[in-house]
Amino acid sequence: MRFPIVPTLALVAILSGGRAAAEQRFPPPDFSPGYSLPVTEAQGAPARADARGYIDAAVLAGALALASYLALGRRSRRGLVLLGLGSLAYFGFYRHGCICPVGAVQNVVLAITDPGYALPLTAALFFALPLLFTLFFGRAFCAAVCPLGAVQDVVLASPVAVPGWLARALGLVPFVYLGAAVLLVATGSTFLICRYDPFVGFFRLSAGLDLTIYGAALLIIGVFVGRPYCRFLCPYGALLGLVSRLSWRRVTITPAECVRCRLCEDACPFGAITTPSPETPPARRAGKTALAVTLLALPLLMGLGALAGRALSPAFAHTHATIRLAERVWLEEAGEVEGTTDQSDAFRATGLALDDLYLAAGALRARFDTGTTILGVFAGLAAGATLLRVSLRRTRRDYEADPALCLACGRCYRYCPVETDRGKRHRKPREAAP
Amino acid sequence: MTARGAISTRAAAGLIVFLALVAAVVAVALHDPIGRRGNRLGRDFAYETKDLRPIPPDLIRYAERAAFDAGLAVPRAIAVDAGDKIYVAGDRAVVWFTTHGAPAGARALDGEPTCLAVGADGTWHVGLGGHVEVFDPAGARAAAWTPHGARSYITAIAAAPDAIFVADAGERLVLLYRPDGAFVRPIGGRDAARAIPGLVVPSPFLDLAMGKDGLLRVTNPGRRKVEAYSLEGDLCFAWGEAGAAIDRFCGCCNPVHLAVLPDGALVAAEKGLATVKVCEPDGALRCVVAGPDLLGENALGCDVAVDSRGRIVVLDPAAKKVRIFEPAPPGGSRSQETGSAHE
Amino acid sequence: MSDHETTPIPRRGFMRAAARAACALGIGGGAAYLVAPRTPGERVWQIDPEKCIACGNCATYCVLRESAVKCVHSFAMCGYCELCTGFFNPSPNDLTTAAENVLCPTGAIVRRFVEDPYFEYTIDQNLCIGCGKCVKGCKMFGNGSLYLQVIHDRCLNCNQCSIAAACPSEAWVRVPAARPHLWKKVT
Repeated sequence: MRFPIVPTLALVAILSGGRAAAEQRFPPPDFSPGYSLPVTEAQGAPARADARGYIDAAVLAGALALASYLALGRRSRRGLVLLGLGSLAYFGFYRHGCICPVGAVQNVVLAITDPGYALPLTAALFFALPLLFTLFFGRAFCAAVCPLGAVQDVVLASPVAVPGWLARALGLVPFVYLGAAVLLVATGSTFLICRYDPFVGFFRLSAGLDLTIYGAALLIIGVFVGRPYCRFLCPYGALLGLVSRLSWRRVTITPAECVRCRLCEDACPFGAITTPSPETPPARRAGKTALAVTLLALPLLMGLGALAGRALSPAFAHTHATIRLAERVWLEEAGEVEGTTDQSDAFRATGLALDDLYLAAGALRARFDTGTTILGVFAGLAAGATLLRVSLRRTRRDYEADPALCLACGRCYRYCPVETDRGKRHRKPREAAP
Repeated sequence: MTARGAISTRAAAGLIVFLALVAAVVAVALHDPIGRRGNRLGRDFAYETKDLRPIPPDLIRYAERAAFDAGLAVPRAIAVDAGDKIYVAGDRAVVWFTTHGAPAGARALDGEPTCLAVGADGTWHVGLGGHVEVFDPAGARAAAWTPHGARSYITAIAAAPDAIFVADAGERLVLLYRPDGAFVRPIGGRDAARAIPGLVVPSPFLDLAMGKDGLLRVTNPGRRKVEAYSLEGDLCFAWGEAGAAIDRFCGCCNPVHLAVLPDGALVAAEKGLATVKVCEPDGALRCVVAGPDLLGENALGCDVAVDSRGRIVVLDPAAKKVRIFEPAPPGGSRSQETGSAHE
Repeated sequence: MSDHETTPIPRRGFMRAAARAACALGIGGGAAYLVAPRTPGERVWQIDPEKCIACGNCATYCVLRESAVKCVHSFAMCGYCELCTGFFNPSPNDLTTAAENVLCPTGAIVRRFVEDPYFEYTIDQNLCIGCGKCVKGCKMFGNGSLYLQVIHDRCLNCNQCSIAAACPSEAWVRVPAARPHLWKKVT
């Protein structure tokens, strides 16, 4: 994306601010010998070493490899649970859940849109490694590496199936959330995903009341609805879902040939098991009509999305501090509000020109107009793609895990008689060995 | 489990999920990541100056008659010549205005000026950090004096016909020079034998002015006093008390600027709660010119000068304006202040 | 697997493999591209003291219960005043360290006599909560030698600092981890 250069420069001028007028150029008092000035720098502390970030990345890579092995090679639910708890302990409670791959998406976007920001290697690895592993081995990251997923997996006690239509509809939310997060980073507003991270407050054992309630509510929902954040909010999950459609190896319910016993039908708390197509397929004609209607609806959905996005532009724009400031200062100057705020006082103290502020805010607003329109088109496209997937029924002969929805948790393994049978055959010689 | 049991379990789960969903939405809506609610720290943690700001209206006996932009990014010093022309030094220049505030000229300097004095004969003395430069009335540089010490930092100059007084805040001294630049003696240095406690200058503010009684008035901001010295360097008397009351000097390191009215009274400017007041030569408060309602709260310090008609010319460095005050009936300046408070 | 499905599968498999390779290259290459050309190392959060207005948000918006922001003192800028407006109430009864004269709500500033007329002021960071009250007093009357900084052995260096999001003067910046403080300097 290219932005007009002049408003960007004005923005830089606003953001870099004016230096205080009174420069200190003055020697300290002339003390008698015997007094030496304390060292100012001794009050600071060195930044935490880079090494910690690299250790985290190494642990991440190791955990991803182990999770992939446990999910695909060992097919061990117990191993995945243990690894998930380990990840929860390390990435969650020990490393306080930061930086995480979900949030790293924003660092990547910031590095693309802000030339002044250098993407830290750790953030790059946290962003790329789970995607690459998913590309080859499915969403093992979600199963046992992500602390946000692990904490929800722990509380899932009494799963209730979410109706398919509702699950599909809610499944669009992560895409919208991802788009909104990208937009807010690209416009320099905020890191939306980090701001509304539901569980990081638990990991740090300190959060405001509001976010504690938010996180607790998600966990309570998570007792009945499998992993509500992962499935219906997580923007990184949306990316992983896309990538996992291409994965080289992925979870299969059965290690061998499906015997269509239907035992696994209700095994998945995430609604990721697809059932075989009916023996008598619906009329070709009806299918074709549905497909045609959906294809026609796609541009309509995208257009509606664009209109809705454009209409929401002011709301999105309000997340940007400079726009909020400009609006406030404008109202104050027009005499429409009483008094000043810390923000407007701080701006006036910089001595910068009002017009520059308005110019910068105007340029940002234009970016938001464009950005929210694109976001709307994207949301419409996602909705259309979902409809398309519904109408494009592929013939399925077996019970399969939907690659995009399967979180590789391994719960279904023990439901499969073929697996149980294999397990027995594997175990027997071992038991006999001693 | 019976079908009925399964249904009621599902209903209960649905209800709990619904309630939790409502709680989550409300919590997210109430979350305030952008600091809208402020720090919620309470009164003990707020730095409050409200109680210190009000000035009794009957003490305000000056009114702002004119204000104009100095046209400088960092205006630092102001002076008025014998013909009531107003000079402002700042950035890397001296600019001057007619007595009514119309721009009349400008001259670039080699450095950033820190202070300025225009003598009766029209000669300028400009402090440029550590040294003084002398310009003839036409603006041509006549001399550049060598700095007195390694730490010299000149913050004020006063020109008498046969003596030039230079306030050196860096060396914590007043330096007496002859007009030709020959150094005569330091004044105000700590001297137990002569009972001089010494100038305490914690920040780059040290000002002086020649009194009508022939005694040099020097600020001693670290001791919140104005001191009167003879030209021989004897401390004749000093006055000033620390305190928030209007007849005292408030906060640390005040007063910061001085000027002398034609009748000999002193104009003293304070920083922090920026205030300009008029004191009798012996220190008793006569009246207030302007307070923080007009001049603001900052540590920049308003330089002051007085013209031949007794008008007080104030350089407001926060607003980058020159403000001209004239005597007015008590309280008369109120409407003026509110009128121009919103720049 | 039945026979009629064997023919499409290799083609499909090939397409998928190609797409997968492209995707892997895209993710890996993209990340490497973004990292490689500009590697000044890690960045950490810090407060630009010239922009800070000491609003007090640093004390309450940190995700830590005890904020990672503390007051620091640039001694070379300090006037060592007897009457320090960062230490005393705006209108103290007396210039002593008695509690009723003292500004800091947690008593984190230590005043020590050096020699007439100078007093040294140091911050006890274990008591300081980063409210910035003294910063305001010092800036308003004095030299601005007291100011707020992020102390990095306390800071978690969150990806999105929640104080930065709540900062009214956009004073929070990312600085190189090698020089993680923005000390005020006497120039």
